[in-house]
Amino acid sequence: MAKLQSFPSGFQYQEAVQHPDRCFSNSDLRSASFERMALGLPKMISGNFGAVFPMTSASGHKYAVKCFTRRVPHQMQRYERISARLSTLEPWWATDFQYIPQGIRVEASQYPILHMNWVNGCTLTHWISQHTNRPAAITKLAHCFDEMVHDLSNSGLAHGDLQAGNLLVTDDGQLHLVDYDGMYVPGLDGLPPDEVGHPDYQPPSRSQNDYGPAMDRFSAWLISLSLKILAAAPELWDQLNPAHDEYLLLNRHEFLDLNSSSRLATLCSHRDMEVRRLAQVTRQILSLPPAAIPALAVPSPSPGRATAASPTTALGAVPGWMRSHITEPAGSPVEPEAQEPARHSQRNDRWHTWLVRILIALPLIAFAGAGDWRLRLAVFFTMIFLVTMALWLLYRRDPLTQRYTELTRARRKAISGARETSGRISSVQREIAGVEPTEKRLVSRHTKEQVSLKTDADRRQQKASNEIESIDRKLIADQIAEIQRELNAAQIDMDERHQADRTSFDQRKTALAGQLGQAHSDHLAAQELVLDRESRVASARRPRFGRFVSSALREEAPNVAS
Amino acid sequence: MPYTAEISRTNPSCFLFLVDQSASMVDTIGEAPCLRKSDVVADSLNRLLTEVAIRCAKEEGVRDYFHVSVLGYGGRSVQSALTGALQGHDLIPISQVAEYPLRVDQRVRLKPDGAGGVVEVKTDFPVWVEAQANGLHNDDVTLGHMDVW
Repeated sequence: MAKLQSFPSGFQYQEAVQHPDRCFSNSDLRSASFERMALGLPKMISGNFGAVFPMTSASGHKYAVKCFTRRVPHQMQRYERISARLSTLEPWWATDFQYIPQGIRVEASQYPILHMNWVNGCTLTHWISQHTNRPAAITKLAHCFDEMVHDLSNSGLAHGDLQAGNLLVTDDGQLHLVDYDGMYVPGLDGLPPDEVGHPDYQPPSRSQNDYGPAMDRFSAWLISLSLKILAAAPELWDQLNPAHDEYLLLNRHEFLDLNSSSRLATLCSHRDMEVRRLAQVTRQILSLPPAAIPALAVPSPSPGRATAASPTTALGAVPGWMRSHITEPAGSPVEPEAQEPARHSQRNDRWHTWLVRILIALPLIAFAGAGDWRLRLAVFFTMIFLVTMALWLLYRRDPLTQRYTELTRARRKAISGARETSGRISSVQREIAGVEPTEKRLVSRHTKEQVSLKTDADRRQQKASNEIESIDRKLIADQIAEIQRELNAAQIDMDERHQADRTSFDQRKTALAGQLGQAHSDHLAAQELVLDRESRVASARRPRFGRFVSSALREEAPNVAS
Repeated sequence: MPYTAEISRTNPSCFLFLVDQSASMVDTIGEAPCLRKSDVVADSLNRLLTEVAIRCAKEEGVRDYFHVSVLGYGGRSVQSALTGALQGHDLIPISQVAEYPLRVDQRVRLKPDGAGGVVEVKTDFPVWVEAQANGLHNDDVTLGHMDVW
């Protein structure tokens, strides 16, 4: 195989591809034809790491052939594992591909290619430009994207470079994810790729150390929220990205300083309430340290307020915890659940009214029926007591009262959940604080040991040198060399011990950082739940005992929606 | 002074090529007796323009990451060395360059046949700049054109 240190340029590949029968090793590609660009040369799509040529086989099947212009470390192992994983999972968003180590001949050498099925679609940027007059299609695509991200994370995968250029949309609105160069699949932990994704979609601090299952979180939120914002206000596309450049609504400059971002300010002060709310969430997410960004929430419509929102509004797909960060619109519609008991009590109204009237009449009848006035009074008060108890029971069993009690109970539970997660955050933070002095101790012990080892060796060497007059020089030199060897061995031994201490310690630190991120995410969810329960309790008017009795007497249905 | 800057469609970069087309360019270069300096310069420049154009090729076509100007000097005046549809334009977006080559030549190249020998292969080679050698040097006028961009 060719030396992989220097790869052909796009020009050299293009020269080679002019003769598919000579350059390709795959028989299907040898008989394939290429498309031409205006120059008359084979059509190609240039990227950072390679060039993709669209090719059509003799049988009419369309392929994409990727040729590499740079060396990629562990390329073959990486593609083999990614391919094995994807062919087991067969995700709906993936494209079939085959890595051929000696796929193309350029001059006298062979180079690898990626032989892929062609996806007949256009990039997300191009698609948005064509669909700014169809917000419903953008909403649908945003939902589709959320599902794709959810599927990736459920399978333990991460793409590494989620961006508009790698998201292709077919004519029927189906989303495809391409370019698996930077993908993470379980088992690839020690083999990070040589890339960190498109800077317009990654946190400014993104590095190869972030390689892992959680590396897509920033870009996933960014794309999902941008699509939802565009669905609510498509005119923002031409306003914030007039050249239809590779970013969506915000780019790398915004991520560096959110407070001075004019684009984000435009979104936050937009006349549309949906846009303002989504912009606030975007600000929240992009401000979080990358490790603390939670996973994009499950896209299925969640119960409660999300379903109450109109299906055409973008917030229908906004995940649960996100809603804790956004203000409720004034005059939000009454929940369907709240309306249901109201209708129910309408039906029971007549029954209630008569029961209450009979109960109130009972003491009067008893009062009239008894003989002696003392007996009458005794019977009257006993009946009053019994009737009040009966009415109280009726009031407690009333669907409205029960619903209110349930709501207050749910609120109490949510509050205690939020307290619990907040407690967990503090406990993890305390543990982290406890771990830091240990780290300092570890480092200082290592330094001290090193110094003492060196001092001891120096002393012994000095002593040996002093004996130079009395004993044979050769012997002394050997002795000094021996001391040096001992010193080296002791140092290696000490470094190994230190490394062993550090490894377990570093693992503990990583685990704690993970726990902290999870605790933050849980706390956000719990806060959202509290807010949700609070607003439900607030929107359901508290049913009063007195009002219950009087409304029953007046033949009025108690109405929570009033 | 070295610096880095983003190159995008909203912030494109510029290539300005100054081509010596004076009489001395008819001199031969290297070992080959009939290889003129002007031919070598034209071939290199045409190849470089192709490289730049295909580097900007994306799914929907060639993106204008660069603007290009090729100025020839050597005669009485300094003028754009591009001919054909691009004649008379000083600064041209790369998408236009890719769209309008002067012609596409068929070059014969010797390629390994995979069995130890070589074989003649014809490849397409777009041409924008013709080899030219006439007149005298005229650096001063050329430098004046750099203010345009």
